[in-house]
Amino acid sequence: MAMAKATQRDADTDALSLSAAIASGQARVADVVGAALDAIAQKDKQYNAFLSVGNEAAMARAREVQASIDAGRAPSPLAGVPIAIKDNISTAGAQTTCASKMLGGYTPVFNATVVDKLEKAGLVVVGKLNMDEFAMGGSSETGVNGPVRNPWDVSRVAGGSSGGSAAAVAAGEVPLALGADTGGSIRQPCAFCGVVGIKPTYGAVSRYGLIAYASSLDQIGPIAQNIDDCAALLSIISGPDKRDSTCIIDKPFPFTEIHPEHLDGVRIGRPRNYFGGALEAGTRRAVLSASEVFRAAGADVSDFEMPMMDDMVSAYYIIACAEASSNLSRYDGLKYGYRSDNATTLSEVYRLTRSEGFGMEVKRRIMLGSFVLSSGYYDAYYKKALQVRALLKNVYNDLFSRFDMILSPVAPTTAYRIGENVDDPMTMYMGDIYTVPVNLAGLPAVSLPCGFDDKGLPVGFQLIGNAFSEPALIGAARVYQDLSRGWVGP
Amino acid sequence: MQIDDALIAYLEDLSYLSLTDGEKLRLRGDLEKILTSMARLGAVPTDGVPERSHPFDHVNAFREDGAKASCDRQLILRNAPGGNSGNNGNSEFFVAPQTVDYDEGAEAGAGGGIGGPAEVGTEPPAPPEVE
Amino acid sequence: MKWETIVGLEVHVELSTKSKIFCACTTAFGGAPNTHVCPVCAGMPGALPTLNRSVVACALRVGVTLGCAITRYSKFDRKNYFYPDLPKAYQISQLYAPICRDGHLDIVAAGRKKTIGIREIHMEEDAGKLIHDPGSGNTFMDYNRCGVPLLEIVTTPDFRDADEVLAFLDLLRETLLYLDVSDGKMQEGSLRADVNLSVRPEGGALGIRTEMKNLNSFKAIARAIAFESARQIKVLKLGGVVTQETRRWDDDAGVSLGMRSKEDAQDYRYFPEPDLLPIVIDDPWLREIKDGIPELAQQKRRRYIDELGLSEPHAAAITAHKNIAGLFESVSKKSGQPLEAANLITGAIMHMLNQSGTLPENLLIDADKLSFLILLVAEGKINRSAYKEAVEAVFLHNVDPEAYVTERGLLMISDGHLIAETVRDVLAQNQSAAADYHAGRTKAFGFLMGQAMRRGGRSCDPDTVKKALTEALQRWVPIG
Repeated sequence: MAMAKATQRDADTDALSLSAAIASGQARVADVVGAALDAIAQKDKQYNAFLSVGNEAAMARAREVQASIDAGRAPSPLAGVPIAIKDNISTAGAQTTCASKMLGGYTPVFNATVVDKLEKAGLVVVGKLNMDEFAMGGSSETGVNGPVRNPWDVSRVAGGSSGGSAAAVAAGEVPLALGADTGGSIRQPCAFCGVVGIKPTYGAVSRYGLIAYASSLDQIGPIAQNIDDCAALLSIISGPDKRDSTCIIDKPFPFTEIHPEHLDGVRIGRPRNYFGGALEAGTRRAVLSASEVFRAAGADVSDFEMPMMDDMVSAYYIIACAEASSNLSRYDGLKYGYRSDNATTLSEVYRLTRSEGFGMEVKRRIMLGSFVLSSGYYDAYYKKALQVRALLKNVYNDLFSRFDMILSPVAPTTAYRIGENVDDPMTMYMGDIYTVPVNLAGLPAVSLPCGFDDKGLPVGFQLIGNAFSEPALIGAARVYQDLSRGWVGP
Repeated sequence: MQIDDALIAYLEDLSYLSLTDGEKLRLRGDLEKILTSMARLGAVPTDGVPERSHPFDHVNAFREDGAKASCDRQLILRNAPGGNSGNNGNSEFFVAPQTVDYDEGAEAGAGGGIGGPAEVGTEPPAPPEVE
Repeated sequence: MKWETIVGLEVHVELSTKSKIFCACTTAFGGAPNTHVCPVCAGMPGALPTLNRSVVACALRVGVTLGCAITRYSKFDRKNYFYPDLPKAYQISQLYAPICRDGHLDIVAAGRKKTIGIREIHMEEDAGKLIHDPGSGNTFMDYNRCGVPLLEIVTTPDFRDADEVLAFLDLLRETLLYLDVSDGKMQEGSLRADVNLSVRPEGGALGIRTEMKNLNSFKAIARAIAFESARQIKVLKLGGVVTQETRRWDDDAGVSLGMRSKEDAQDYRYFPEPDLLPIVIDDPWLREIKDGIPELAQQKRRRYIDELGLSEPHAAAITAHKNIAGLFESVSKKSGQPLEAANLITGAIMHMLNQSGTLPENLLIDADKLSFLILLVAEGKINRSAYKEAVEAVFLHNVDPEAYVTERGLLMISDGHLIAETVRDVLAQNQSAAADYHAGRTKAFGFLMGQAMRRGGRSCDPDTVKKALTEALQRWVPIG
């Protein structure tokens, strides 16, 4: 019944194969982790995907996990596999900087819930990954440690804000990474780097310990070479958490290895207006051909008109910047992080610390956020955006009565050159046009590679489902991967 | 949408940021473009549409009362910034320069309480309908 | 021209839940600095709030008791501002949908009844404590108090003088005590009142109001109202304008001081708190709250007076503390002697409390034992002085009263024969006094009583002796 595992697995480097080898005794955890650390040491100068690497801690942990496995306690289907984590996810005792001067040297005293889950599942955290500063950006260029370079073409961006996460997997440095998606920050770098990522349903994965950008939009998610690895990682990080009131899922997504044989009867919708002029030709071609794969597998693929398409970016940025402006107010030089040396009075500590500690994009979003929340503008901007969000939720409810999934592009272009859009926030923001509605509505989406453009750069597409329909999305993604070309590295 | 110097200064105050002249110039242009684009939202008909703060409709997430052990003080203070005006290794408190900008009245005195000056001028928006 | 003073109150009540509103740190008072703190209440990056259900329950109890409309769909909002005592740089509070609205509290001030409107009640978190050290030029921040749950009770500006304000606060405090939601101690900061005050010529339009903070006692509130009212009237009389501002009350100097900060008008940029879910109060929950509301002090006083026959002063003294009222009710019920119980508690017990320096709310005494003694004295089995002695022994040493009175021979002798014999002996030995009595000198009776009591011992019931002596004297004839 279940199809043979597809050629999507690169036998030596994909996570489930590694854990199987470890479980059967063919490989030792220390060797697998050591290989990852070597790969990072060798390659990362080119890509700048990592902000910190914990060699000793990782090897010590590898020994612990090996002992556990030797004692017959296999903690999970991914036990022993090395993983790297976006640097806005708190790791106790290891620096967590959000790629910002403001948190340079900040070492959390607690783990994010997802990190606890990884440890319990026997994964080995090897390092923290580069990103846009405080997750604000779509290219991983705004961090203070320099841009992440796309492994497919190091003169180009890796996408953002989880650029380090996608690049590290694409470059074969680690088989697994955690990213976080607020407006496309997992899906878009995955598309730019040709790897697979999942933005889970809002409320499926605990945000406790994720350094907040936009509270009602942020979600942590898995990034890997293929959908099976992503699914396994999702089953580990998802699940209820009493420490996060918005984590409303009642139990983790189960891990199965079932690959559906076909998609007969599955109704897939394509938003016709997403495929218009703003979408680059090469991307359009690749995404449309992906939808043909679904049709070939038996799905019923048809088109619809997505309402309010042009308003989504505005609504998103109003809400995200508003929440961010509040979430980032705590960075004041008094309790943790950077404090300006030039300050003597309290007012100076606040003002200089924040002005020196934050980069320009962060400042821009904070000021924008303050604006839309300020009295006199609140109704026209913030309140309006919240109302538009309600309308959008109704739109999706209607769409999911007609379709089981929606298939759309992830980004209007493939990876652009480093520095190309940095001074043009509006263009940057419009790059999120296909991804932000998903966050506004709190829906899950899987980002999958679907080919290359004529520059040879990866193109990705996304499958969007109704809340908590990850198992169905994963099933469809598995069919897609089984029918399309296997994992391709740069 | 016209962004003037006064508005930039106001936003700087609200956000406790100080921009350089160059940054202010850039920001004006950026904000103008962005806010003009955002203002288009005004055209979307939303009469009677309730505001949606969460993407779902769940309610009533509670924690049962009951005190648990707090965090070790050393850990709480571990990341406190050092330096001249910083913590200088104070092992009990976070340290700030003397709060002379606000009169102590902002802190509501020994009895403590919520700081921040009086709310002036703007009335809060009309409350939503009570169910 | 007559001037009118208009006052409204914003009262902050610290709730006596075990843990903070948004985290499980203890709310216990004291504690070394920053030892009741966790990543949540310290505002660390990535930490998230979780709502303590008991805080909502407290808010509902108070709201229902004050006759409020309960907001069935309530939520939290962020109030954003920068200050070192606020680690997140926002306070989680309620603006758009406070949990309770439109209640009232009926007070009596200077003999007049008045209804004070409650505009709203909402939940919020407390801020930390700042300790200014001018010597080092530093301010020290202690976050122990961050996240302690507060109820903010906002009145409509119905007060016209300090008497009304104090009567309100007194009754409010008593209500909070009886609802078990707070110990309402102003001196400890668990009850804080900010006074909003404006003045106007009688019949004129509402004036500009100021807000006064740092009022730490009833006395301070009275003084502050008097001062600020006079200050504003003076300003207006001189043709000036009252500045709308927050003023700090300096009780030592007896003045209110305006703030120097240029940022008087603050834009708090309130928006709904995305990290917390809305609260929906359904009918069963509300019913549970309503059913759980105990009898309040006023109701108890009414009942004591009307049904049990207590005097007003006694009823007031007993209900001043909830546990004293509880003790009274217990003793009264067990002994069936409410008036005796009231006398005992307001008399001997209160006296001993004061002497020992124990606070009434810390009184621990066995109601059964007190009841036992009351019954003994009511049934005439011990006399009053023995009673007093035994009560003291129970208070100080928690003795077993039955054993105590037996061992010390305090049980009354009402044996008619013994008393008759005693009286006979006394008369026989005091013939001249007896004769004096018959001659009309009633003072002789007192003398004879004294002799009889001394001879009979402490355990003689004076009433029985008196009766016997009277009878004996009637029959007496001089010997010889």
